[in-house]
Amino acid sequence: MDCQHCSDLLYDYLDNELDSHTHGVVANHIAHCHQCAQEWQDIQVTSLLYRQSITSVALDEGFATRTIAQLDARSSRWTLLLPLISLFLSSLILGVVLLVVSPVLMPILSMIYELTIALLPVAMIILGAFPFAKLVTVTLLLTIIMLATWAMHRKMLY
Amino acid sequence: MNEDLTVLVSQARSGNKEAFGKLVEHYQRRIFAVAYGVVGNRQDAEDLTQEAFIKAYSAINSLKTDQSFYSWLLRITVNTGINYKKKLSEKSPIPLEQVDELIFPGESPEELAERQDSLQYITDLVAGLPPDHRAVLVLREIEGLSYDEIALAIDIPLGTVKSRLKYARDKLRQAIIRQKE
Repeated sequence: MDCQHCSDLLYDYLDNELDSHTHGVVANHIAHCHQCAQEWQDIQVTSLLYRQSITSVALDEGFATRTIAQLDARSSRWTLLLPLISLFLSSLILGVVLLVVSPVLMPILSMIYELTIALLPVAMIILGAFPFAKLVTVTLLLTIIMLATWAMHRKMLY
Repeated sequence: MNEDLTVLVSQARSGNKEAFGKLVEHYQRRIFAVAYGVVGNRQDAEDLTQEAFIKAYSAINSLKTDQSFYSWLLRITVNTGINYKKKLSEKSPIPLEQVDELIFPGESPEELAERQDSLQYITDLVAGLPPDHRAVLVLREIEGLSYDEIALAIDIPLGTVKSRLKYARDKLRQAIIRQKE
């Protein structure tokens, strides 16, 4: 093995990436060649200094605690933002859908509106004639409002 | 990877932050060393280490097996580090008082000072290398990965691993020889 060939293999020799035969040949050459032995020594010193320079700087105490706190902060930020974003997107989608179907929807809605207005006195007469039905209706409405409020509160929490 | 760590990874995958915190404690020094090797300064290395752990937690469900957690975390760190936007702090060298004083047996104060100078010199030299070269160097020298493992970790050809490693080491070696002369 000549010196150039040995020099080309020194990093592989350092990293143990040579097959056992070539490893032996390089070791033998270094043992008998002053120039290659010097190069090999320089490589080892460089490697050692590099490793010392990297490992001599330590991480601050409390890093793990800070990282977990950062995780919590980021997830709580999303917990606050996600309902707002989803509300905005839902409103946007609903708006677009309404805009698209409005030519068809408007006549139907106005018919329903007129029908409701026309039938409202009938409902009032029935409720007026039976006070018990009035009480049941109000109770039912209050229950629905309470259930809706509870469901919204629960959704905000999770 | 030992069994306890595998259990922690499994728990972290189920959203257990406490388990993930223990993983952070276990791996923080190794990941920080790699991050420091890639970005070349303390403050950015700490930020990068934190970013890598946060990314890992967010994407932990994409981890294929619990056993591959560390190599996956290492890949996140190195790839984030290579693309890391360099901050102003990178331009300021690490003050020597922040470097731990590892006094070797029988070492005189003069020898310690000389060694610290050499370490500072090496740190500055490493900071001058391109990030992708620093990444290959740290994975080989600090993590002890084989050429094949490095190629796999940062998704580059084997030949590129060798050429980057040789370039980085030659640069450092030549500069150290010049300093000695």
